[in-house]
Amino acid sequence: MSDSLLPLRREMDERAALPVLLYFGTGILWLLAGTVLGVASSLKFNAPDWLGSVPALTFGRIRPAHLNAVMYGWASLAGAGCMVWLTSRLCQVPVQWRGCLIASAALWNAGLVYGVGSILLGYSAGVEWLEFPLAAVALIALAFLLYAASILRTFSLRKVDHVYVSLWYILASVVWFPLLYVVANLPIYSGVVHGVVNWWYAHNALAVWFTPVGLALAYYFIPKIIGRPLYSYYLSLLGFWTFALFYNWNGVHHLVGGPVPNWLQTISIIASVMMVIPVLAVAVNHHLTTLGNFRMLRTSLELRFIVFGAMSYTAVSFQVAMESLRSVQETLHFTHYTIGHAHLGVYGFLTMILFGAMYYITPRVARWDWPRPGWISAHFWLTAAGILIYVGATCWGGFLQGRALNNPAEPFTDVVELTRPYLLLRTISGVLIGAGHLIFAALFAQVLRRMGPRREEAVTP
Amino acid sequence: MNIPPAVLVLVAVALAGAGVALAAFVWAVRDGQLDPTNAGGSVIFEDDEAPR
Amino acid sequence: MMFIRLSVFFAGVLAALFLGWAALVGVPGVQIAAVPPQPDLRPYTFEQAHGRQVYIREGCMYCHSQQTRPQGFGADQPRRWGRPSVPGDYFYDQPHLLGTMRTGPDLLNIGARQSSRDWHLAHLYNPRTVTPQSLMPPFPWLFEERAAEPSETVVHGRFVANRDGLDLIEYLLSMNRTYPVR
Repeated sequence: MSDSLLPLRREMDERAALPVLLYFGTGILWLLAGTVLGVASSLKFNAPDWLGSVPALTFGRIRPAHLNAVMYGWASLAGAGCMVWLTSRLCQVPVQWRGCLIASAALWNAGLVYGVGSILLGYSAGVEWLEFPLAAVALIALAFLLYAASILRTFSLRKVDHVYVSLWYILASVVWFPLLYVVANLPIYSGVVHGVVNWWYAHNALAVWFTPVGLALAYYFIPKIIGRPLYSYYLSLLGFWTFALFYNWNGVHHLVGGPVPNWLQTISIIASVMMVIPVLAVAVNHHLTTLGNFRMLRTSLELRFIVFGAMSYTAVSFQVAMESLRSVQETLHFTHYTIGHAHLGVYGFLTMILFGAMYYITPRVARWDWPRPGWISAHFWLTAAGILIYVGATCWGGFLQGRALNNPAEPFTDVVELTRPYLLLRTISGVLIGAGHLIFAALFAQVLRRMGPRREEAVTP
Repeated sequence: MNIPPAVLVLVAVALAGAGVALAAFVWAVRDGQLDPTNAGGSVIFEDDEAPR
Repeated sequence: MMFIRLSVFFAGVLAALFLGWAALVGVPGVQIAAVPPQPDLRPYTFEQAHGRQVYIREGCMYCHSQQTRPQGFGADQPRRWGRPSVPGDYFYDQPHLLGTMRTGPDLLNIGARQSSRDWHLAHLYNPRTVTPQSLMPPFPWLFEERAAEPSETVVHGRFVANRDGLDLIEYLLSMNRTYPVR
């Protein structure tokens, strides 16, 4: 513990405050918008005629609007804010090129408004995860490059000898994502090749941007908050390289049984199973570092979110390895199981870790502590219970749906009837999650407006 | 057996790529870049804060 | 020390992304691009292509796939959804609409399975008038309320399909890959 570092930490947090809070604040707005779109999409399965005469609010438009708002809006903006702060901390250098970051946040949001608006108004490009028109893609790609420039500049001025494993993921993601995003959006593909590019992209967007963000945060905050180093640091580096090598080859497992060459499906299945190696490396480190410190989950609300996220990562990763096998895919492909799996990853893992990280970072950069700890606890239980019900309902309902679909004696309408209770449960869990988000947004607004007792010095930077 | 020439080219390219990767790996090991150490795990505590 | 030199780190990171691209997109791209269209597959007409845009605009692919699986893998064959699809069936598809969900049934051969224009009109206006259990949204904006010409079909007593609705049905009726693979 060296108190001589206190002024540096304070300077780093002050310099990071504006861009980080800008990314966080707009990210939370997209979280709220995305949640409304998601719950409305789910509700339309329970009441298909609800808002049925408004073209912009038909299921086939609000569902992709939901995905794009939460992935490119919420997860990307909140993730970028966290990465900016973490890079500064890990390099022991104040954030560089803040103008780039502020321009990046502005362009990013402009791209999102344009893109999500285009989907709702009927101008979707028609490819899952790549629905945005090219103008919106260009805005977001430029925003990401400005963000990447600032990260790399801060990194180049680093005052530390050792580059911590979280930074490995951050550095890799800033060079990976723009390449992937631009190559996949080129308007040159057609037919089955387009399908392959589509799922190479959609799976890799997780591999090269969203998962690295979640893992960088977990690798930093779990040991940091518990106060002891990773169980095996060397293993985390092995985990990084196997992650980089295998994750890239997974995408075609989304097309198993489809009109793509068999060898291609097979290599994606093999790579999906090989993901067990990096996942075990991460799991050993996260869980064995936490082991014996579970008591801290009661005192640290940040840690509670992050450990929940780390546990979801292990669960969702083993789900992938199992799910990609042909015999399993025969049943689960095309069903709501896939939706449950996706939410366990993007919500149970990434979003919960982002919440935990934001609960840690926000009071330090805003220099104001959270006014109501009880609300944070309520946020945790609402979202944790919500996502568990969500994943349970969609995965079990999807499994039953897949078995019924594969039974030719079962009329299709009976398959639809069978899924109804699970789809209702999904809407209910979505409402619980949404309530948690409202609490989170209210807390964030209270910190920005400096509400609650004056506790400016309560948070050590 | 009739092997298309494109496959032979791809096999040659793959083997060449694997050779480069193997050489880079051997070099990195000899250079000490992959020496096992857990020391890096403690860097995040160098700026540690006073307990709350 | 960072263990790995920065140049090696970035080279490795880029190589990993490139290898995945080469394996999943580059090589299969060359292989599939060499596949000609199935000789019996027809390019989309102007109306069908416009109908396909309506299909994309309304997000039909989020519930309907356009790929049929082989015998012994799922129940597509016993359900008579059409022979297993092959790359040559998709030659004219841009963007692709393979889909990953079957909240509704596969549509690759819907034109062969359900060739009644009137059924499609009633179904699009409100799916529950023809299939009470359906979860599909209604699409009343593909219709307009006006006096019908003698050749036009009236749904719900007073609505006739507009250009978008008619072209969407042209597209659906063209969905027929039941010709033998050659």
